[in-house]
Amino acid sequence: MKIHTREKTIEERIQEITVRDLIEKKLKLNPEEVLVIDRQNNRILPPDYRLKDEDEIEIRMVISGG
Amino acid sequence: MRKVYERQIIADGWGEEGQRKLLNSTVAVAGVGGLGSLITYYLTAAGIGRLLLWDPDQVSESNLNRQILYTLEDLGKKKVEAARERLTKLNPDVKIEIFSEKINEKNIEMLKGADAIVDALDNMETRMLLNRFAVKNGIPLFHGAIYGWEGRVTTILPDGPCLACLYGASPTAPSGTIPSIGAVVGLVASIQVQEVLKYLLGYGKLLSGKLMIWDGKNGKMIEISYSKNPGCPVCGGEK
Repeated sequence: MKIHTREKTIEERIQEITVRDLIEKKLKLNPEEVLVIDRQNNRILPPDYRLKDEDEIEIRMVISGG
Repeated sequence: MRKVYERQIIADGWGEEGQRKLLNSTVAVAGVGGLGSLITYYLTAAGIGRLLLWDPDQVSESNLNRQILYTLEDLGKKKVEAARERLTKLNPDVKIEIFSEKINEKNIEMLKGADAIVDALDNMETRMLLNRFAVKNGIPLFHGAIYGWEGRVTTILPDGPCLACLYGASPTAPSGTIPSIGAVVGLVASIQVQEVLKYLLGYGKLLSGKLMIWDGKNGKMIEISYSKNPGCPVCGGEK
């Protein structure tokens, strides 16, 4: 799976995993601080979505400047 | 109809009837900082009949790279007072009511008469309060946010997904001093204003269920879709 972040793109082989588990357990991020985007379909992925190895996602932080 | 409106009345979907709708509308703008400066300027110029401006802050020098309502002469003034002074000079048709306080669970009730609420805030906690209020009262909410070169806009309609469907019920954004670029703020605010005007005029498509992301670093506008979350604690997510 390809994972794009602000700083870099990483490729990682994964078994099926939920978005929540990827963010919390693998990437050690706080799920309340990020949006997870399905790059192939330009949609937000909900926390319980099950990711597959062929998925390509982008992680963007929540922003609130005004 | 005053001359000031003649160039917009000839735009598709506007007309004199549309202008009368705007002159009879009430729009609440939460936050008169970077986004709110430009939003209130364009809404006033467009002839929104009544604007409710909320902001507890005073003008400081670090605001002036992006908060276009204010000048060096306004330093130390309450933002809502300086804003009303500036905006009234621009268009005296617009009745401007000001509230120099932070929006909370109690005073938010004063937004009940608004036809639209614009979220130009700088913190997620109050944004989510606005979202809950807007959903509960069936008032559309026009959300914008920036961070450095990036900007985001979405529109929350009563029958569409809400901000909690997009971000979760208690999202956390970076705190402290946020990087803010005037031109990025201006771009995001301009899109928010267009959304408000189209909603009030009943014209075109709105960004309901769509998050528009401006990636200024790469010069790209990206549109991301999102849906109602069936377990959303705010809107219930039935649709």
